Amino acid sequence: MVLLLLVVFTTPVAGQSFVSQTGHVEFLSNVPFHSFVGSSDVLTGEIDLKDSTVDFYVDLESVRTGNRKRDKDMRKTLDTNTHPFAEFYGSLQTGVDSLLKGPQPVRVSGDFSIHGITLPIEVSGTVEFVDDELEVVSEFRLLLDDFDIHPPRLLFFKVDQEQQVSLRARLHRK
Amino acid sequence: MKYTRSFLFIIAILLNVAQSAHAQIPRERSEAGKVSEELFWAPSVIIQPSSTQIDRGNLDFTIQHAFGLLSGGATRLFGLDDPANIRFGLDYGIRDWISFGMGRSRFDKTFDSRIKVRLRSNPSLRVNVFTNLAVETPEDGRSFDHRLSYFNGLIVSRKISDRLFVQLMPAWSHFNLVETNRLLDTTIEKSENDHVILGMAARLEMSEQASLLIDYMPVVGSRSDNTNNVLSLGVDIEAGGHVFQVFFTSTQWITPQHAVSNSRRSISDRDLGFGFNVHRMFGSSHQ
Repeated sequence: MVLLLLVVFTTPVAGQSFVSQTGHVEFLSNVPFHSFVGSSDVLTGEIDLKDSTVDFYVDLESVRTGNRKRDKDMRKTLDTNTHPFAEFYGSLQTGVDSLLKGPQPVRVSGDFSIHGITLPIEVSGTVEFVDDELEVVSEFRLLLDDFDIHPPRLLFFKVDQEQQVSLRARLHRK
Repeated sequence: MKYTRSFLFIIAILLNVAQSAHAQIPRERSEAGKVSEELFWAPSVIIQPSSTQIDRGNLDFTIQHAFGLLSGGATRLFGLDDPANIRFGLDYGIRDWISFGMGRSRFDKTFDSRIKVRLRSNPSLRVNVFTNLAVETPEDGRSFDHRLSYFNGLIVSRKISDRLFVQLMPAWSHFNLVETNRLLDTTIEKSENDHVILGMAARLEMSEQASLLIDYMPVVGSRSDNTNNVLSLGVDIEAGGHVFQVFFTSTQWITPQHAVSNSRRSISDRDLGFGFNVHRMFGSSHQ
């Protein structure tokens, strides 16, 4: 019994969880003569190495494309009043070694939600321990149709059906 | 004792499970996501400049048209057969708070340059200063100085409700040279170098794509003989990077100082003409 209680109360609950509220995320819509990048610097996330959970979200209204009218159209298309966040919740599929130097490739699988649609996705990236912080870099692709996102066509800024999403965040210990 | 140990065991397991289960971090809206929309959709209400500022690195390309009188009837296609005034213009956002623009109008071959500076901005109030300089370039022997005219205004616009936006623009216009004409009945028609204007405008949002516009530029105090206040009524239609403005107006002049000083159409006589503006905003790929 004593052993059991020791297990319970000595289970580390802090120190393996990393958080950030200032991650950078951007998407590239790559259409000839109409390419543009949208980005936000308020990507919020948490990675818990103990239970391997990965949790990220961004307020879509914080995304800027460098053109106010395009931003407005984007908010309208994504219906950010009803669905303000793009979010991912999943788990690490590969281990992370906190003693290892340099970027470590990782694979994460979970649910990605945007525009009220949630789909399972698998994402690859790297994590690196830098000065007791965890730097995360990842890139993945999304198809707008998969998430029922249909930019209006008439005189709208042309938008690529396939969006290249990349994120970089430095998470500190919780 | 046996029950106590079992109870403690269950508690221990539950505590361990509770520690292991990881809840999602609570979703919170970001301050950076608070959007402050411009109160008017285009840099011009119809004739008078609006409080809308061009973002840094963005370029607004404008084509403005003002046709002849509707009273020309079907034989003149309600003014479309008459000579139209057309202005091509570009406005560029140097910073989020300052933009510079240039344009050229057909009437009097007028080139204009303009600067708009934002003094104050919050979600329901915009305060801007607008100034322009125009030069008329017909080959009529005038010196350069005599071709110049100016328009300076303080633009204050306010959000009244989610659908209604209003604007007040005290302004002053000046022409370096004006003419005094002797009319056929031998009366003298005098023109003023200076006009003081209290511009008024409103936008009523009908839907996410369409708004009603009213643009009124009354002269306060003395004014050139046989000129009238300018009234324009129109519709804003927003589609992607474009804003289309379809309107009826009591002036064919497009630069505000010319509209104020030269407009002879009378609202009371329903001397209105058709016009339309197209604004196309080009953005930098990234801010």
